Amino acid sequence: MIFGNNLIKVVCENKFHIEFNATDALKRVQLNPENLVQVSYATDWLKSRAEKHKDNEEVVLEMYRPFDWTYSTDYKGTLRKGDFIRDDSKAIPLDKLKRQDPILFFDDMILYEDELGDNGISILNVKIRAMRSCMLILQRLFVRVDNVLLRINDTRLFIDFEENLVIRECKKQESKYEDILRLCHGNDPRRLLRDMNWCAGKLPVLSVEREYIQY
Amino acid sequence: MEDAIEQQPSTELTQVPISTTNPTTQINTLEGWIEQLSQCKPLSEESVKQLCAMAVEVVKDEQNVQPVQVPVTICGDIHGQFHDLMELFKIGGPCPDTNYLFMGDYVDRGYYSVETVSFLVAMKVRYPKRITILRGNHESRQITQVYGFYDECFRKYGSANVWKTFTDLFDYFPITALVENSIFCLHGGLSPMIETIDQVRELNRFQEVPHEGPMCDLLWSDPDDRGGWGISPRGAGFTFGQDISEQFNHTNGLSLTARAHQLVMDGYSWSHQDLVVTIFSAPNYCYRCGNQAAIMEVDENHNRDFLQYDPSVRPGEPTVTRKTPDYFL
Repeated sequence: MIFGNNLIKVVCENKFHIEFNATDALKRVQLNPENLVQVSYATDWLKSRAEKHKDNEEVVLEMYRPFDWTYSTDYKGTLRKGDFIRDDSKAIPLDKLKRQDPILFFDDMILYEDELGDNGISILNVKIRAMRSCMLILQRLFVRVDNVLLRINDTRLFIDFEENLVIRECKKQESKYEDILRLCHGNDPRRLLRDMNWCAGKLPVLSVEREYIQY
Repeated sequence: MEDAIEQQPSTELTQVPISTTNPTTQINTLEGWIEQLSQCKPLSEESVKQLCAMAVEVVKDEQNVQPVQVPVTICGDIHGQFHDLMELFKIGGPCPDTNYLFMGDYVDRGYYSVETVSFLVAMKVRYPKRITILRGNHESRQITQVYGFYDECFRKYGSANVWKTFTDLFDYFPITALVENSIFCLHGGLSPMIETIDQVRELNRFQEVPHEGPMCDLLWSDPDDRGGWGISPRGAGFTFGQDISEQFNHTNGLSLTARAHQLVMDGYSWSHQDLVVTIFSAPNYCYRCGNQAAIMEVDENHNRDFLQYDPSVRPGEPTVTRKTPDYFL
């Protein structure tokens, strides 16, 4: 499901302009990916099918134009104006964001999602909150392929109105499904694996990149 | 929700030992359950057990290819959207005045899987000849543990007993239906291992939905624009092209294959030049997809008509869920 009308656009006079939209995010989903993720039972399925249909010419056990069906994207927004300067040491000031300043504007919306044919979930979500002194956008890609893997790609865009500063941070996290399931307890352990925030706290971090604009 | 269970009005309803009562009492009990469920109040655990025991007796003798007569109204996925199911019966006409055929996926994703499946099963037991309920790929132990039904049972009953009772019942559901030897109805789609409907009749359906094989395909596969049999890039699961549908409908003397399983924005969607129709009966799926739902009426003369409907609007429930601001980091 593509929520194509959903859009976040941040414009600062003629100095800076960035957008988050579904179409541009989907353009960065890979066709013919090198490491095509497969569902957990794919090997068994193919093996048994190859055996059963070996005499049937109509059944061609070949994948047609494979694409990254998990819709994983490394999209970090569409930059229409402004140039970021890479500096991994430029961290987003958490102390400022942790202050309970009144939230003047808030929204939370989905850019796209897919049920992966009942094999998990892929969802690209954007949240925004603006306070008097700063604002934060969090775009999160959450992918769960049941019994295979969990993946989170976060893009945070922080704007400090007092310092005239924009920081963009891109963080990638990924883990084998079983490694995270092992951390779950209780009557319904898989419930936690539907909780993106919980997963974000548990998944190992693969990479963090930061860049900034002083405007 | 938990309140609703505690609010159960009459204890005698639930404490009647069904097996030793006469048929009139059974019907009264069922009527009581249906009345309670139609208000979206779940039955007690004990009642669910009794209901499912009665349902097993009804559905176990149905066929893998359950014959259905016209007129009948054919419905797709419901997915726990109880209030929209009530809307469906308003649009299509109340059961048993209207005959219904549901093509699976009663549970998971929506908030009221328990009430939805309890209601449909109660209707099945009450009017076995008037309503047919097929199995969808979500009527399975594995899938329901991931997509919400297990979770919901646990929340509403404090244990997994009700989930177990229902998933044991699901093993008995018929997997396909045949309307007047003309419309083949099933949840997913065709299988390369099934050329004739008689081959469906030979399957042993009384089991958990397997991960491969013909029963799996019937509940999981999808039509595709590409011809022949295709494999999903996910590495499992078939797609079937128009040539396959043509061959299947021709071999079996069918006019149409009706299936559900996939979200379609208008509630129904033709494919393969009207040889296959997809019907989806959960409006605004997952409370956010903005799709219409549809059901397909087939009258005595085999004329088909689609009735589309929007989500039921209920007082006190926002049509668009706005999330409350939070200090996310």
